[in-house]
Amino acid sequence: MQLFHELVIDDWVGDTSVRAVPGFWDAVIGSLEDVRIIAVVDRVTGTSPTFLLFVNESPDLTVPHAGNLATPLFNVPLTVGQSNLLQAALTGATPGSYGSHIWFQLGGTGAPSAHVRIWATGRGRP
Amino acid sequence: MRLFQAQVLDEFLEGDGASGEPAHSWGLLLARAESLKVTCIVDTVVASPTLTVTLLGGISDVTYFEATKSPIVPATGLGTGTTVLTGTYSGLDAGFPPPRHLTLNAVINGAGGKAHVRMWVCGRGPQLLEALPPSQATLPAQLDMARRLADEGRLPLKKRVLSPGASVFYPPDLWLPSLRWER
Repeated sequence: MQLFHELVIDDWVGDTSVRAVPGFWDAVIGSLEDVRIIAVVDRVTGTSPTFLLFVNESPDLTVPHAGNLATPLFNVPLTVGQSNLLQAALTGATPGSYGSHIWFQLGGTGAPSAHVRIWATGRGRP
Repeated sequence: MRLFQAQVLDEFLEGDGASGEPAHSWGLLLARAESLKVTCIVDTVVASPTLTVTLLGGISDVTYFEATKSPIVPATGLGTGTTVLTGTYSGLDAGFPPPRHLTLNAVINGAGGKAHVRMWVCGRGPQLLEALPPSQATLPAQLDMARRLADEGRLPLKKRVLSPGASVFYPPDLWLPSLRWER
């Protein structure tokens, strides 16, 4: 069953730097094996823009001890001029450590920018 | 008076530029004191590196953009024995008062340098701003607090669970039960 469903980031991105979902979601997202991730990316500009989303795991909620758990969206091409719906999931097939931290990044050339919203839906047994 | 005391780091740092950071869950507590005393005890040193500690601050609990006090512990050469280093920060600092969250970053520099770094923080002041809620590192408790924290940065009309103008406080062990601190 669905245990939580949250808009974890709503951000206007104007460069290609790596951005993070607030860390207070780490323990919540890391609680469950099955997490559905939906990213809605609109107001896209740039040349051949792409979207990267990866999840790091951490045993102690520190950055130096965080390592990659999964990269469910790897440089997915974005279409300029329309809303882009991107779907991903974390599953029990790849169990994570205590905290799961979501990062995302725009790629491409020509000063890519976009409005990024990411929802996380946790499913499991209460 | 002393408000809290906690060991926030116990790490072997190995290599030029190796860094250690406390769990980001400490961020809100560190920003709550009028003044901070940082104490580092460094031992098991190899190749005489230097250690520098920076106090970082930001509006987020994971991405820190500001060097609130850089350095809080200046670069110091480490000998082969045990070295004790200290640093202080006052929340009354006119240039860099504390933002919403504070954390620390310890870095060793020097080719082949290695060191075992332990770091404690003692927070002092008249009192914490809010009474401390009992914490349980359970999914419902963490989800409730995460929703409140998300609301803190929202415009009033977009808030869902937190009343306009309200702020929240969490103890570090809400997010990670192994984090221990004393009042």
